[in-house]
Amino acid sequence: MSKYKSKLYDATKMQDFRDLVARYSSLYPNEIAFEYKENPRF
Amino acid sequence: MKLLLNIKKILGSKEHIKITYNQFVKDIKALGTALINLGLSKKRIAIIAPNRYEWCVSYLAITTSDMVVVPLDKSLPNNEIEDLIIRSKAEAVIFDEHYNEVFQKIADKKNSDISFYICMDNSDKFITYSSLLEKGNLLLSQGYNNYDNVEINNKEMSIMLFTSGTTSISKAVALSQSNICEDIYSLAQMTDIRKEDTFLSFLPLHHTFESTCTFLYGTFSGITVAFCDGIKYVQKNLAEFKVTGFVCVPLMLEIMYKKIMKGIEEKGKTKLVKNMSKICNGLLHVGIDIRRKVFKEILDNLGGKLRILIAGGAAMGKEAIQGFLDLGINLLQGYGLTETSPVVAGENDKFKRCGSVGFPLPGITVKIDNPNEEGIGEIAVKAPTVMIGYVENENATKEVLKDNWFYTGDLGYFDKDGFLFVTGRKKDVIVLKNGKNIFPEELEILINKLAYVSESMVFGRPCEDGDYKISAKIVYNKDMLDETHPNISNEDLLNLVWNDIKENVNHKMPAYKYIREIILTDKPLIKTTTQKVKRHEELKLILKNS
Repeated sequence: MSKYKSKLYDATKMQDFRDLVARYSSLYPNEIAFEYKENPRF
Repeated sequence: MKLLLNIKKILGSKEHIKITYNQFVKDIKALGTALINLGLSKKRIAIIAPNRYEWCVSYLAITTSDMVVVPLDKSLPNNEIEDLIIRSKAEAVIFDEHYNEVFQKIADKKNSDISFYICMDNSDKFITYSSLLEKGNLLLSQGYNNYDNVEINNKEMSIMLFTSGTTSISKAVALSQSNICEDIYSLAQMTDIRKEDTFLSFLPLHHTFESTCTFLYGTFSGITVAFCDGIKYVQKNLAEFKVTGFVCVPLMLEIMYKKIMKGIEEKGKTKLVKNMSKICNGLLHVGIDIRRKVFKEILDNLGGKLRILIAGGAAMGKEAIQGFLDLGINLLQGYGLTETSPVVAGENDKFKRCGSVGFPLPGITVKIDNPNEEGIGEIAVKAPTVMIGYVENENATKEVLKDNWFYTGDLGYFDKDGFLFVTGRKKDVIVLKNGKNIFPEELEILINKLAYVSESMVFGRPCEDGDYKISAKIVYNKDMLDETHPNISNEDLLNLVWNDIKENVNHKMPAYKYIREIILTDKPLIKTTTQKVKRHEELKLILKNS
């Protein structure tokens, strides 16, 4: 039996992107999703 | 006022805009509602813009409204944008102000299926993104609930991606939402990305590597996605956004590593750092991790918070890999293709092996097809992440999808512990007349280790006798050479590089792999927006010029 394994964590499986959007609302509603500068340097 | 605005643009504003997940969801629903109201259900909608918030809202508004998103490469020349808009049969396009001119021309020509031109910025010529958001919010407040009633078939094409064109003709890859969700599910079992993380987004979002790993898997995990000011400003942005991780290509990390090492060398601390690394790694074996404390000064130069790097797309030198690991940064190497949504294999938080791309992700089966005596053969993948096929291109689909296996066109092997190693693209292998194979990447890794080399490309120059002369185009870092060898003549430079190639590359290889010709330049190689060298185009250019 190899000591190496690919799976380390349990995870939730989503069916589609609706599940992803629902996850945002249920798990992280007030967390910051995006941050950027009003006027980036470019 | 305008002058002040321009100065702010040049210097970069310190004012950060922060968007909560609640706001993100609200905007997705509003835009989705407005797009449905325009009659775009089931239609294809293209997006083209630099990485920005509106790109992400558009992507999820389109896909969660049962439309097909067609992300386009932001760096395409105008004629190719027009070509892909026509080929995609998109009926709407969402773009930012950089593309006003090209879409005005396309609109005037009336040669595409586009009915709606939507600009992310202010515009008096096109429908604006903000007006659609406003309309969507109004409809929602009036009880218009078509968005909520949309049903998604997660196995149908939802994302249509044109391959980046390291070959001459791009194909359109059809991915379903299920494909991507399966890849996220697999990734989440390998590595621990948390809501406390901030990832800097600078690889183009139209590419699945960035969109799946940073945007979709990242937000699945609740991270903050920070948009970079541009590739030149990565180091500054690391500190400004308190970045904890990013997804990148090895070339960037190798450049970053060389810079770090140069800084250490200038301070006369090379030996000290090496010795401390040995001590830290020894302690690590007994469960004591002091790397981030010992190397605090170096880590502070990288913003101070950087803890995880995800690299893919090409092979990376062992020295740079070990260098980042020694600093206490969790460097994960992975492998994937657009056709596989994209990640197929990756190192995980616990198990890594220098030079490998880790294990096949949970749920993904990889086999080595037709291996040679060294165990090297074509990498084939069977997984729920494998694409539906190439859009309207049955022949191309049949070439790569056989009995539910996707044949990647990449060569590789498994070691005894199950780590996957990718040796190169099947079509890039140089097959000599004596039947020996040469993998350009193997030589390029050694060449790129030379301090003054920015990048390189190894190729076979066709000879009259039908064999190949192993050659290397080497891009040197002019600034670095000016410092270390001021006023060096071309002849002396050639001698310097030749001596280094002989000592550091050829002498480490069997004779048939010796580099016999070098071309020196300080001009970067031709690359895709994901920083992959366009070997085909480079080779054409080299042969044309010689």
